[in-house]
Amino acid sequence: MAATILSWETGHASSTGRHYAEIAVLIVAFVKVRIVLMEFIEVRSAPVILKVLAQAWAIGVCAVLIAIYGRPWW
Amino acid sequence: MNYGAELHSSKCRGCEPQVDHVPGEPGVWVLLFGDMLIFSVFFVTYAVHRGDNVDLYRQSQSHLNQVFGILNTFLMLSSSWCVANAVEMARMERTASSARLFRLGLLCGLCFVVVKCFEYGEKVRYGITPSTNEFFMYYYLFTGIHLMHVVVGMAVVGILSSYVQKGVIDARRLRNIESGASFWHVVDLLWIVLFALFYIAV
Amino acid sequence: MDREEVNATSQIVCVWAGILCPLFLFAGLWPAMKFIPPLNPAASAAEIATIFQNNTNGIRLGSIFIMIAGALYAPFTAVIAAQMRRIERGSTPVLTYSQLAAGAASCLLFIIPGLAWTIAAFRPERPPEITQAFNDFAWIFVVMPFVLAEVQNICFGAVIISDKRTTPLFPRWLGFFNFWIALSFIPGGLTTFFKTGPFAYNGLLAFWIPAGTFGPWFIVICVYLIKAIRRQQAEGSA
Repeated sequence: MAATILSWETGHASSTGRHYAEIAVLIVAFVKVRIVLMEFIEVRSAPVILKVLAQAWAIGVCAVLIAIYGRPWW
Repeated sequence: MNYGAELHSSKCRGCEPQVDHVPGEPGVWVLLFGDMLIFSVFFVTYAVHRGDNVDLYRQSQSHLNQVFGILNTFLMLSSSWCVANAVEMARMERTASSARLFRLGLLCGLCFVVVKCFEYGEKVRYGITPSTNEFFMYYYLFTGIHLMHVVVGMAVVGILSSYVQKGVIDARRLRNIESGASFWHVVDLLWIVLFALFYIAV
Repeated sequence: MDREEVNATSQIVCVWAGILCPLFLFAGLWPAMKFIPPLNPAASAAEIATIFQNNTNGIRLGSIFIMIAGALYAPFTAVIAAQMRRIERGSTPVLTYSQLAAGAASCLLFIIPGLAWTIAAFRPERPPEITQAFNDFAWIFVVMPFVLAEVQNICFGAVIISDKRTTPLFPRWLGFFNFWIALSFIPGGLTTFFKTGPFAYNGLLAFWIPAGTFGPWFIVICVYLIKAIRRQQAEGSA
């Protein structure tokens, strides 16, 4: 819940700081995603393969999105 | 399938499931990962098109109702919390509490749907529709497809609230409960990403 | 005790129909008609007419392949229903019937677009708007009627996971796999609203995702159908 408020508050910056804020928002979102995976779904106590796949998805999608968000700068 | 061993390991008064326990059953993860994969394609598609027109997207984003967005995130997380605890209650064979928590989760889900209806209604009255511009097309369609998932998820949670009280909580019943709950959590987690992509205006 | 007549040979033939179906569909769409990647809904009538004039015989031939694919879908649906029937015991196997009905209707989802394309190619010198209309008709027919696939896949999936045998006829994950396939067709249903972008009938979400899941679905289902039939043969049971 705190993470949600945090990302909402972060969303009030300016110019290129804006871009970094947007990245921060994405990262916070996927941290939340990971928490839901680990705690609610209990992937924490799941077999290794499931843990790996679930976290790989979260990290992978987050990384790809951050990369694409950075496209105007390439 | 040796239900006996699973029974011992997954039923334990007030404690977490043992290590190496698949939430639900392996099969359901074909569906869950598959769904997550499809939404990933949605997310990436959105991000790529956003990159072509960042200003339009940022500008359009400011028209979204942040309050509704935050409220919905709160509702989704709360309902997930309820469902997770309902599963815990079921493990402890406190089926009445479990059913209550499932119903509470369902109620949160229903509120989510109601808020979404208000939100879409407000936009449409303002003149913003899926054909207004690219940002709004993605907004309506992706949150709309997510909303369909919420409705299906609500049916699942609703069924779980009576299923949990239908009989003895054996390993098979618990497995099915966890499967249904996991679906709901995935719906929650997808919303978290949608919220970050669409609502949080910088 | 008499072993019940299992009819394995007919069933395997039906499964082979299921294997050939996507092959004919693909052969029709790509080498023959050159419709992969799909035609552009935002293209002008003149552009579409030109395509039909340049590749007339390719399109005509491809239509025949697609029609064959449609016909092959029928025995494929039937053998799925036959195996579902073994799980859904009792006198009212409604999910089996629903799957059968939806699958039967789905045959037309191949045949009608195939014919629409060939009708367009029948007189390519027509006014371009008419050619475009038939072309749109065909594409939307291919991409949009996701609802039939939903019924078919959801029924099949539901029956698979309801199997109460100790060793189920089909692995449980296959049921969920069917649900996932059903999910992947949903974006196609929105294609009528768009002429460009990912939801258009040549778009990533409306065309390519379902196209990507459709082929693998056939193959996976056919593999497991054959396993189930072989098992049925070995056990001599219904």
